[in-house]
Formats: sequence, C-alpha cells, structure tokens
Amino acid sequence: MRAAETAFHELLAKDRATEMRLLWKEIGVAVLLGLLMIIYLAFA
Amino acid sequence: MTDVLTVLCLLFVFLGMVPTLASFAQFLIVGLHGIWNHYPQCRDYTPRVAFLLPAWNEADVLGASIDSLMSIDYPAGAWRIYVVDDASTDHTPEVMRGKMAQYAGSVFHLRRDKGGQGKAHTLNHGIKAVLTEDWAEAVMIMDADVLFEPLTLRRMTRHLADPKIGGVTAYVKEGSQPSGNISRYIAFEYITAQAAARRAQNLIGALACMAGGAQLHTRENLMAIGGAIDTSTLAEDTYATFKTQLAGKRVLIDANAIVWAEEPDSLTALWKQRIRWGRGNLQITAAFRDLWFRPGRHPVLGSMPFGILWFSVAMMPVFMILGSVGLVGLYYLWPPWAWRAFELFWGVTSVIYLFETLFCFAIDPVVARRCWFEGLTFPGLLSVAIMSIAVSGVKLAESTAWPTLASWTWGDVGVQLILAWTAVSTLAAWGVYRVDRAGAPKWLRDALLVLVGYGPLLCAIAFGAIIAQLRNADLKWDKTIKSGKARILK
Repeated sequence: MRAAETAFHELLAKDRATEMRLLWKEIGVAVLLGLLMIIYLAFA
Repeated sequence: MTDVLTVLCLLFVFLGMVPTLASFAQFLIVGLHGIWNHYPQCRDYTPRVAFLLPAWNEADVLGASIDSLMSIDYPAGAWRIYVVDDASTDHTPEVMRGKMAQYAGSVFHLRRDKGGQGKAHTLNHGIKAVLTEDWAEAVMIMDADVLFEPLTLRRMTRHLADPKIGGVTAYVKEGSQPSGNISRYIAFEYITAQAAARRAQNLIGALACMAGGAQLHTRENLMAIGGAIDTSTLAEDTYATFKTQLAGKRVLIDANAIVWAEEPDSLTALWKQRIRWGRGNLQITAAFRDLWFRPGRHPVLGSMPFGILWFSVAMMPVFMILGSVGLVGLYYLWPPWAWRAFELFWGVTSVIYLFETLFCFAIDPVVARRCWFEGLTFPGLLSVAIMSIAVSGVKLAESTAWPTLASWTWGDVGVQLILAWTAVSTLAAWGVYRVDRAGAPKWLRDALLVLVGYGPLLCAIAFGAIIAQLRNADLKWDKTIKSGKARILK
C-alpha cells in the first residue's frame, strides 16, 4: 500500500516537473526569438 | 467607394491572419500549464476500467493492442478489455478466441450480428453491455490499434479522483515503424494539435476534443450524457466531449499520458480520414449552433476566445481565402498598402512559424527529432520562401505602381500569385493530392508536398469537407485501414 502511494507521488512529481520544465523551455524559446528579432531590426 | 473597399480589404487581410494568431495565442500560454494544472487535485485513484475497442476487420492489430493493454501497470483485476466486433469478416473471431483463452476473465468478445454502421454504433453496443453490469467505474473508449504505455492508465485515472472531472484524454503519438513522409508530418502535427493546443485548452478550461483513440469517461459521466455515443455525426469523440462539458463536467488532457497509434501514410488515406474529421467538425458546428459566442450557454465553450479557436480550425480555408482576397484587392486599390499588409501578414507568420516550430522541438524533443525535416517544412518550402521575401524587405514590384490592363506583364501574375499564396497554396495542395491519386511516383508526391506544405494540405482537406457538407454528400464511415505498424517508441 505504502509502496503504491510512493509510486503515485513519484510519478506525479515527475509529471509536474515535466510541465514546469515546459515553462522554462518556452521562456528560452521566446528569449532566443526576441534576440533574433533585435538582431534583425538592428540590421534592417 | 474606394476607401470602403480598401478598409474591407484590410479587414480581410486581418481575418486571414486569425487562424495563425489563434494558434499562436494557444502556444503562448502552454508554458503556464507548468503553474496552473490539475495535478494538485490528483489522488492515487485506480477505478475499475472497461476498455472498449471497436473493431471491424482489425485482426492484424488486435493482438498487439490487447497484449499492450494486458501489460499495463495497474492493480490486478481492475481492468477489462471488451472488443466490440462490428461483424468482422476477417479472422477477428479466431484472434479473439486465442486472446480470451490467454487472458481468461479479462478479455471479452462482443460481436454484433450486423455491422458497417460506423464506430459510434459499434461503441454503443459495447457501452450498453458494460453499463448493464455494475462492474465498470470508468470506461476507456479507444481505437483497436492504439498501444498504451504501461503508466498511461494510472496517469489518466488519477484525475478522476476529482468529482468535477467527467473525462480525460491522452496524448496520441504517431508510432508507425517504418515511418513514411506523411506519417512523420502527422507526428509533428500532433505535437502542435495535442501536446501544445490541448494543454492550452486545459488552461482555458474546456477541450475542443478528447481524442477518440483514448477517451476515458467516468461511469457517472457516460450515464449523464445519455449512456450512449451520438451517432448522428462523423465526430463522435468531439460530440461526447461537448456533451460532457455542457452537462457540467470538466474534461482535460494529461499530455504525460501517452498512447501510440498508426496514422495514414498515403495522401488518399489521409484525405479520407481528415474529410471525415472536417465534416464531423462542421456537423458539430451546426449541432451546437446555439452555443457559439454565447457565454450564457457555457462560460468557456460559449466564450469569444473558444469560438475563435473553433472557427479558425473548422473554417480555416475561408480565412485563408479572405486573406488572399484582401492582399490582391489592396494591390489594385492602393499598392503601397498591399506591400505593407503583405510584409505584416507574412512577417507575423514567419515569427509565429519560428516560435511554434522551435517550441515543438522543446515540447516533444523525441518525436521532433524523428521528424525534424517535416517540422521545418510543415508550411511548405514555398511559404518559407515567401516569409523570407517579406522579412527581407525585398520589393516584388514598384510599390507605387498601379497595375493596369495596358501595362500587364507576366511579372504581375507572379506578384499576385505570391500575394494570394494562402489561397493558391490550398489549391496547389489539392493538386498534389490529385497528382498522387493519378498514380504519380512517391518521390514526386513527396517533393511536391515539401514544396507546397502539409499545412496547406490540411487547409485543402478542410475546404473539401466544407464542399462535401454543402453538397450534402453521403455520410460514409470511411474507416482508416491499419496494418499493425504502430510501436511504442522510446
């Protein structure tokens, strides 16, 4: 019973971490694209 | 008069951008799912689940599906598989006899005497049998070829601990091995349409569709929506999703719960499948006509943002054609504005294309790596070239020159084709489909598709669905043929 509960919480924690990582990845992509646009506008 | 037409053309150009902007809006909020999600309401809940596999001549794929389902990580005896055999004429009964002997008490064969009425009728035969007994606490509606990862069911049922939830869906990944050009485009499309868009819809508070390949309902919810799946439309999964939400329950996707499916790898099969989906969406649009843009009917489904999302997909070709009409119209009415609008239209599109493509690689790096080329060429190389023209600032013609019939040149034709590309690419994509149907070699089809793009192909199919619906063409259940190529890929 306890093992099942531990497994449940581990799986939940793993999936919550995956979702949180997506936020950081999205911020990373937005920053990268922002930099590209700044470079583009600087040379336009 | 000219001023009015100019304003109208500008409005059309804006409308042409709506599907792209709507898609971008969804992508922008995906990351917030890391903060606002349903995980805090999850509990270690493992109800008794009845898997319903509608099958019509699926003997080639049934065995693998049943084996995959019987090897999931779930409490012993808490799940059963009901194969609803739609009077198959292949060796499905023999396969089932073998599987029932192998997994006695867990696998059941429900055979219809008369088949061929479609998935919804087949499902209803199974739902009726399952709901007659009181064993099942939840029902998983799926396709016969779908493969479940070991923890997928646990990841889905944990959400049902919250009594507000009526249904949960999973992230359906394309798993054909060996994969082809078309199936890789679909694999990339599913990152955008499922892993990204449905996470965003979780945040908005309503899903447009729980995937028919993995749709988990509570028993209570199935009873609340009438104990049966709607048989009047070609989109029974979307109908059930809407009915659930209108009955007051929430539905959501757990994008970490993954199932694998075999999707079409020929243009003909894809066209048939997506015409069915497209027509189904139009039928849903009509069936729920009192819902759209009326928040009083449902706070989310009837909201303005959800309505825009829905119509930007269901009526995408209309938006694309309007965009083209707007740009070409401006070219004749006020050329400098045409170029400004062209640069804005394609400049914004190029930023969104870059953002969404890069983010797809971040959302599902494993799938995106497998189909990186299809991801990059999703809008078509010609569209990418037009985006490059727009952002490079190259002028295709003198911006102040009004074209006249007297000064007509072939250059004008090229310019107008570029201005009208969103509509022209839809026509070109239909041309690729026709070339494929005419028996063109695969290398030619693939090359043309890379040039024209998979996105325009989807738009062409949506246009075909609109035409079929307007012509009131026969509502045939054109089943997608599965050959058992799907694998759980790591």
